[in-house]
Amino acid sequence: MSVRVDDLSCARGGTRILDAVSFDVAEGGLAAVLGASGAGKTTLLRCLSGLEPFDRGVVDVGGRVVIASEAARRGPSPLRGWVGLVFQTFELFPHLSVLDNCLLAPVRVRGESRAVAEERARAHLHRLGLGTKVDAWPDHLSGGQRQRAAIARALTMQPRVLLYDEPTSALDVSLRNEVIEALRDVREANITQLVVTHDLRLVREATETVVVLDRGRVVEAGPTAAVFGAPQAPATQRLLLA
Amino acid sequence: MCCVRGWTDGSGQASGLVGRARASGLAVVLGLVVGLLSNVVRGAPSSLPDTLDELRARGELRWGADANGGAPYIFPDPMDPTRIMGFEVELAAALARKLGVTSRPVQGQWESLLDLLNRRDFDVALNGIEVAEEKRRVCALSRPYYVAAEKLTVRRGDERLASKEADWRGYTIGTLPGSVAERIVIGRGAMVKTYEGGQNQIYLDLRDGRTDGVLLDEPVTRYYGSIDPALAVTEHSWGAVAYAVAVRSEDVRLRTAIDGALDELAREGELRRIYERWGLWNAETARALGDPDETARASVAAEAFEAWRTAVGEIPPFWERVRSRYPATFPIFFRAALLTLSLSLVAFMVVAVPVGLVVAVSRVYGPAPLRWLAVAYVEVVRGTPLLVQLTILYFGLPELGLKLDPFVAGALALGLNYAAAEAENYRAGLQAVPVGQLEAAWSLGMTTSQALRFVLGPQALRVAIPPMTNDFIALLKDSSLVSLVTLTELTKTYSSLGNSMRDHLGLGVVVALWYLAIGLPFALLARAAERRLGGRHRRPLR
Repeated sequence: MSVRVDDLSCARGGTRILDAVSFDVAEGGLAAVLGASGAGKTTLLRCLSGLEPFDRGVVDVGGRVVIASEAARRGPSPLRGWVGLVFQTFELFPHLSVLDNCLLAPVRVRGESRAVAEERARAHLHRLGLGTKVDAWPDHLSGGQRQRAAIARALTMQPRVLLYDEPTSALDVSLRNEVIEALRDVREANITQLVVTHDLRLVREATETVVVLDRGRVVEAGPTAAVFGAPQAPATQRLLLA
Repeated sequence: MCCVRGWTDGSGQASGLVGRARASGLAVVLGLVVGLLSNVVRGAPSSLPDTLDELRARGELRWGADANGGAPYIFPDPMDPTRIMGFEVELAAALARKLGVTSRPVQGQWESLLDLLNRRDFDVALNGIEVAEEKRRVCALSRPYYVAAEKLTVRRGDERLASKEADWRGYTIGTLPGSVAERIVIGRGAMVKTYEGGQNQIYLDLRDGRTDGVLLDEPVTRYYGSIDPALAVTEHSWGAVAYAVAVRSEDVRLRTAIDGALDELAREGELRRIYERWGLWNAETARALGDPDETARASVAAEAFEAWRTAVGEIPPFWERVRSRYPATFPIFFRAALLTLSLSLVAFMVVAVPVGLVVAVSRVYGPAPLRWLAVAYVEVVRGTPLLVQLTILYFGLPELGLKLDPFVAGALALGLNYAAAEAENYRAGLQAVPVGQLEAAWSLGMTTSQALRFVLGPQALRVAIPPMTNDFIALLKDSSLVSLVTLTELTKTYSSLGNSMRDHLGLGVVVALWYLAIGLPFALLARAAERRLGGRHRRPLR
């Protein structure tokens, strides 16, 4: 399912954080949002997942359109179930096992039978290399395992779009490869993915398209190889040199 | 010998309520609401039934008294505390017989007996109520049934206050608050020391040198002063006080019936027989009852007084008491512990926890007006004494037509008070859960209330359990305040047994063990729950 962001604007306390942001991600695509700190990357992600209201513009996920007024309050996303979010700090529920983290929303929110949801959750956990950790407590997992558990939790809700906030920032180099593997796995399931990150290697190795944000505006967008090969905007050049 | 086993207090309703609590918490809430509503209806002041007709229809005279006051009025038998005895118990039984009904004492704090009477908690108050003008302003009094001299007790060998001419100025005299004796002490320029507890403590203080004398009615003097070898009762009478039965001002027919019954009992010699048995017959009473014979007949033994003297004149050593006396207190402490526990559980689980949850959630996640309400609730309730809240609920609300049952009033006052503390515990718990957890729940499609139930609540609970346990134990102890509303819980039982068995140290240990016995299991349970929840985290939540 494709993602279309059109003219998205968002201000907080008189400061414009996102300014007429527009871009598309094709169905099953894997896109990156790059930008310096404070460029508005995380706010963009929060607007897309419904955690942050926006003032103007449209978010369109496979034809399900959210306009500014619908997104005006904080709370559960109007795109609930369609858009999953993997947090930078994972936000696994520490009082539940890895499996129960995955099952809570399908069973309690969607009213699925536990058996059906469990089969799916176990499949995701297995594919993400957590087959032996289903009954573990989140605090007993390594950083990479937690990241993958968070992805499995989001996937069990069968989203059409999965958003990631800085998926490698908390991980050392060896664990980063686990995450890149996970992103590739998810792409095979034809889920559209958007990754907000500072991690140039991750972008280069795993993503197809890239959107560069600078002070709330899209300054450059296009296929990853093209943007990395010949960056046009000064902000992109600065990022790639860093 | 006359004694009473059916001693009434709010716990009758209490045990019923708790029975239902085991079946279902909802049933208890419904019970509370229904009880409250039916009481509202009963409390409506528009059509007051005539008390005389009412008690005859019921077949029972309910009389208010305080067993804490002690011998010889109404007190637990020191040898078998499940039996309530005293000359007023026999008097009430004789009165009830004349009215064609049985008699049933209702426990109430002595200082509050007239308030409780006007609240219609019982038909009459009969407990050494002194005939005085200010009493007639709030109730009507029968003809006197007993007249007592005011007697001064001093330490044996202390001659300073022994004579009639002694100057009392500069001395400290112990007595009961609001009594005729207190007025005499003040009138003679002595410093007065009054006691809320039992009479035994007044004489213990004298023996221990904390006061120089005790001025009290002759019956008290006889039962607590004269039996202590370290004390001596002086000869002179410093005044006289008459006891009467108090009825509500509007109950004219009942008053007339009681006056008639007292007349008959006096004429038939029944009153005299009771007083002689208790060693209380005196010239003042003889004159008041129109009996020409002022001295007690030698043929009638003061057997009740002798039994008292044998039982508590000399207190056996501790281990002897543990063996021979304390086992008999088990049933009465057990009942009191059951009341303390059930009241505390209902107050905490049915009132404090749910109300506290609503207040905490309103405060953390509610819109502004709800947040302000929650803050106001916490500050007002936390900032005013529980005793004041309980008094308003029980004695104040009937003025607005809302008459709460003692158990309901006690549970509500305790529960609503502790709800403020609980709200703060839960707020602390909720705020200890990172905000990302709520957002993660939202991003998975949960509503805020689902997030609270499944994600935030369980994590907040772990943080809140230690202070909750602390609060429950504190509530368990604060429940002793409900003796104000006629409930005989553990502390009240201790204080009344201590007074009638003249034993405050040993029974103090016993009652402390009872409190520990009902409080410790909860502490252990909480620790286990905490471990269970805590075992899932290696590090604390931040």
